[in-house]
Amino acid sequence: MLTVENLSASYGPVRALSEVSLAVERSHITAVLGANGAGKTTLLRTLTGLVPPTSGKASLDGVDFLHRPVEEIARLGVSHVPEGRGVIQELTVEENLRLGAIWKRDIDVQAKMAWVYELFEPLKPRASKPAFTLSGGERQMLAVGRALMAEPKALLLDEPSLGLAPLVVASIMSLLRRLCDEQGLSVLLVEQNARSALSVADDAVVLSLGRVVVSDAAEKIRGDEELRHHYLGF
Amino acid sequence: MRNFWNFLLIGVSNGLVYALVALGIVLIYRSTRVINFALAAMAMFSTYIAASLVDRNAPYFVAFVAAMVFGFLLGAVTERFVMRPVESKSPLNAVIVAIGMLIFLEAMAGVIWGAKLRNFPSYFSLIGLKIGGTRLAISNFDLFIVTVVVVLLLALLVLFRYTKLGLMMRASAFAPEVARLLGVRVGRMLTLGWGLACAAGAVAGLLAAPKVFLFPNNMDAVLIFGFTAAIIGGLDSPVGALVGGLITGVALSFIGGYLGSDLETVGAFVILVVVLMARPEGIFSSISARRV
Repeated sequence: MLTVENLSASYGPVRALSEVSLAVERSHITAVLGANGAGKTTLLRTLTGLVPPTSGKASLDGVDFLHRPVEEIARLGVSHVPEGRGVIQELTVEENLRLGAIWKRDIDVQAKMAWVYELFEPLKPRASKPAFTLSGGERQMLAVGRALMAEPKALLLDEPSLGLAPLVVASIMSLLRRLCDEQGLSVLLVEQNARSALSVADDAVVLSLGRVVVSDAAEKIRGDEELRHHYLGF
Repeated sequence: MRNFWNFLLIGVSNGLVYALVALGIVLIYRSTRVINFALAAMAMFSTYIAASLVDRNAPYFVAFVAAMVFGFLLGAVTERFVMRPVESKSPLNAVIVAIGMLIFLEAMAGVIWGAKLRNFPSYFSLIGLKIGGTRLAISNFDLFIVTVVVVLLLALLVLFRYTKLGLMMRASAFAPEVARLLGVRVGRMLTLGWGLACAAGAVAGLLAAPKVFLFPNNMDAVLIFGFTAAIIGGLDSPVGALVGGLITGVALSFIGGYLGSDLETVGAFVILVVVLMARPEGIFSSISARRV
């Protein structure tokens, strides 16, 4: 279970996050919605140590991790798939996958990789190709597959739908739901595309200017027309 | 015609030493975007360590390995304690710190060992080999250079291509932030990269010293040739460093042989300028030119 309490962060004098609190249980997806500049990406970057927090707490299964270095937070089981997919273009597909679990000692890398190839079939024939040869959808698959290699407890996804065709988005979202349930993941899903995020999420928080303005079950938010118009634009 | 072949062979032998220097520059540049001008001094300092050991009757190969280890440690310590604090500042800061390190080490070498030219022993003969009655310009020592450089390059190739450590080092160089998000301890990889680069520099120093002698500035010219080689190769490709080294070595050998040896340094700058004008991203670079 991923818990965030009163998390704040700023870029110089600019307050980017103000006392954000949320909790994601195991096998739950919480969507983080809001307009551009609402603080969605900053929330993820603060949680994984890339942006220093000014105050607040964050813990995974009761273990406080907020002030640890980026790589140690990752080793604790928090996997962050950054915006723009974060695939390392110069490395091959297989090298990218290996890298996902490279610090893990007690793991059968081959078996894990075979499992990822099963989940994302288009990746398999491209195993030895450099990642820059992949399409946008395939890169997203690779980024998510790589994040899963280390058997994380929490998965933080930043705009997985960005720049993808609606059909690809739909298939990634439904796969995400399946993975979340099967692996018992806590998923924090940052999305601009509120409609598709709400279609798979259990809960949702809406950020505006760095604050949580709404926090509720995804279904309720989907049904609240006024809220949708006001914050989500659909 | 015999001259031609001799110049070619000397060029290859020298070029391999330049390739090692270029490799030292490339390994650091591609992970930290810093040109390590101190490499010349680090190589020189490591060579002095080997020379002192030989003076104390240590076997040549013990001194050789000790100098490599010293070079590695010097590089690692420099990255961790000298370069790390300026890493997040403007790139110019790092360059100036590196040049400061160069001057500091060269001055220290003068203080410790004196500024006088001294011999450096070569385990193998420097006298030209004889084939069918004709004496060639290359010696057993040149064959030793070829062997050492080839073994070293193969070892690095295996490290980078086929080991977990190498994969982590490449990931840290290409995408440090993503590597950290995947749990790679990028800081350690940088330290290790600097260590390897300076160990390669130390070997270049050991291989160059029997020919250029040993004194506190002895590697400065070799650094310029190695830098030319690195630029030709594109600054971020180890294969490019090797090819660039060979091109530079052979070109300078012909310039020195046919036009006079005092033109070699000028020749290096001419090559540098021509390459930068014609193909600024180098021959083997994976990145395309950046417009500033």
